[in-house]
Amino acid sequence: MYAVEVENVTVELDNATILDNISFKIEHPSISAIIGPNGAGKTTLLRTLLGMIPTSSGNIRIMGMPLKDNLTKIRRLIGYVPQRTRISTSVPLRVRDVVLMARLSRNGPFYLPRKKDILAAKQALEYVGLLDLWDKRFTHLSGGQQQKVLIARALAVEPKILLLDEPFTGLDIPSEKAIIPLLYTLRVKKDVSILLVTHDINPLINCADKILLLRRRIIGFGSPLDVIKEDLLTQLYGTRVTVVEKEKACYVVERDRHV
Amino acid sequence: MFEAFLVSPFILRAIIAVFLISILSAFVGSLAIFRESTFLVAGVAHAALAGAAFGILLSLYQITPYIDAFTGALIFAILVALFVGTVTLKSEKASVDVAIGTAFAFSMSIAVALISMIKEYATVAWGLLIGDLLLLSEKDILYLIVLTTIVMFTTLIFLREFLFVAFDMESATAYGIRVGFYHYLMLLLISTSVVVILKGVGAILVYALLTIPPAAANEIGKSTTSVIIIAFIISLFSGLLGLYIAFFVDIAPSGITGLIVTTIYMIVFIWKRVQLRELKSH
Repeated sequence: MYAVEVENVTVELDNATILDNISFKIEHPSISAIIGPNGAGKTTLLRTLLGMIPTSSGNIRIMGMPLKDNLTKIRRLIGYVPQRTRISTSVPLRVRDVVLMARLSRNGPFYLPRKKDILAAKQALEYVGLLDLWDKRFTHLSGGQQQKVLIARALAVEPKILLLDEPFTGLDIPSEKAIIPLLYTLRVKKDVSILLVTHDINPLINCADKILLLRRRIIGFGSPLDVIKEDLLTQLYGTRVTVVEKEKACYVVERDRHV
Repeated sequence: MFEAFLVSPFILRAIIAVFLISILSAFVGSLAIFRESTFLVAGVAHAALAGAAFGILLSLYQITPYIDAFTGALIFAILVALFVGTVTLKSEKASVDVAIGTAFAFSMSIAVALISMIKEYATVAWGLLIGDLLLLSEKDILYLIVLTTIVMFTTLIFLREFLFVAFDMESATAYGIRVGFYHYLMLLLISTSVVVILKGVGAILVYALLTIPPAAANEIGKSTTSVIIIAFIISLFSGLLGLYIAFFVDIAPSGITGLIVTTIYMIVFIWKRVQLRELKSH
C-alpha cells in the first residue's frame, strides 16, 4: 500500500514551471523528507498533494485514491502542519481551541464538541507532552511549544498521513530533538505516514525511510544511504557540500556550516 | 442633573445606540482585529461616504426610487470590501495596503466630487463624516437593532470558522474549510456594520470606536470569548461616559468617546509592556 503516488506531475504557476514532471511513491507507513533549497518547489509539492494547487499534467493518488475525484475524502485522511511563520499572532486562541479547531471545523459550523472530540484533543496534546498547557494562550508559548501544539492539532483529526511544512524552522536544538522521536513513534505505533518538507537535511538523516531531493525536478529519491551523496547534494544545493560521518551518524556541511 | 440626562428622548436613543455599537465593536471589531484588517474599516467608512453622496444624488433627481443615502453607502461599502477582500486573498501584504489606500483615495475623490454636485443636501453627506449620536432617528435605531442582531448571531454561528481562517488560512483550506466563503462573509459583516453606525459616530471616528476597544481587549484577554466581553465593556463604558460628558459640555459625543477609547488603549498598551518587562526581569 502506498500513502502517496505521484506520476509525471507538472505544476505551473504564473507561466513558470514549479514542478517539472516528477514521479515518486511513498510506502505506508513511513517517514519521508522532501529536501531542497529555497524556491525548489517543496511547499508547492505539499500544497499540490493537499489539492490546493492544480496540476498541469500527471496523476496523484493518496492511499490508493485518485486526488482529483476524492478530494473531500482524502482531506479527511490528512493532518497538516503549516510553517509556523504563516500563523497569525493576532487571534487570542487558547491551546485547546487550536488543537480542536481542525477536528471540529471538519464537521461544519453547527457541530458542537462532544466528549470524544475533547478526549481526542487531550490525547493528541498529551502525546506531544503539553497537556498542562490546555488553557494557555497559544501566542504565549515558545516556538517549540507552538510547533508541538500544531502537530497535536494535526493528530487530533486522527490522520493516516501527516504533512509537515518546515517543522524545524526557528526552533532551537532541544525543541528540534524533541519533535523527531515524536514523528518516529507516530510511524511505528500509530501507522501514520509522515511526509515533511525541510531545507535542513541533518535532523532527519537517521530517522527518514526515504528522502526526496527536489529542485523543481527530482535530483534523487531513495533511502538516506542512497541519496546522501556529495554529488547529488552538490547538484541539489548548487554549491559544493561535504558529507561527514561521525559516530555512525552523518552530517552534511557546506564549509563550516550545515545545510 | 442626571434625571435631565435620562429623560431626553435624544439621549435615550443615543444610549440604545451606544449599547448596540458596543455589541458591534465587540463582535465585528474583534473580527477585524483578528483578521488584521482594521484599515479596511477606515477604507469602507470613506467609501460609504461617497456612496451616501451618490444615493442622495440619485434620489434628488429621482433617477431610481430605491437608492437613498443609506443604500448608496451600503452598496459602495460592500463593493470596496469585495475589492479589498479579493486583493487580500490573492496578493502579498504590501499590495493589500496599496489596494486599500487606492480604494480609500478613490472613494474620497468620488465623495468630494459628488458632494459638490448636491450643494443643498451636502450637509447630509458631510454629516456622515462627523456623525452625531444625538441626531439618530427611530428608523436609524431600528436599522441598528436589526443589523446588530443579524451580525451577532452570524458571528456566533460561524465564530469557529472565522477564527480558523483568521488564525491559519492555509491549514483551513487544507482541512477543507470554505475559506473564500468565510473570508467574504467576514468582510460583508464588517462593511455593513460600518455603514449602519456611520450616522452615529461618523466616518472619521468609526475606526476608533469599532476597532480600538477590541484592540485594547486583545492585549489583556486570554481567549476569544474574554476579548469579545472586554471589548464590549470598554466600548460601552467609553460610549456612555462620552455621551454623559458631551451632554453637559456640549461637545460631539463621538469625539469625546474617541478620546476615551484611545486613552484606554494607551494605558492598556503601556501597562502590558511594563508587565512583560517585569516578567522578563524575573
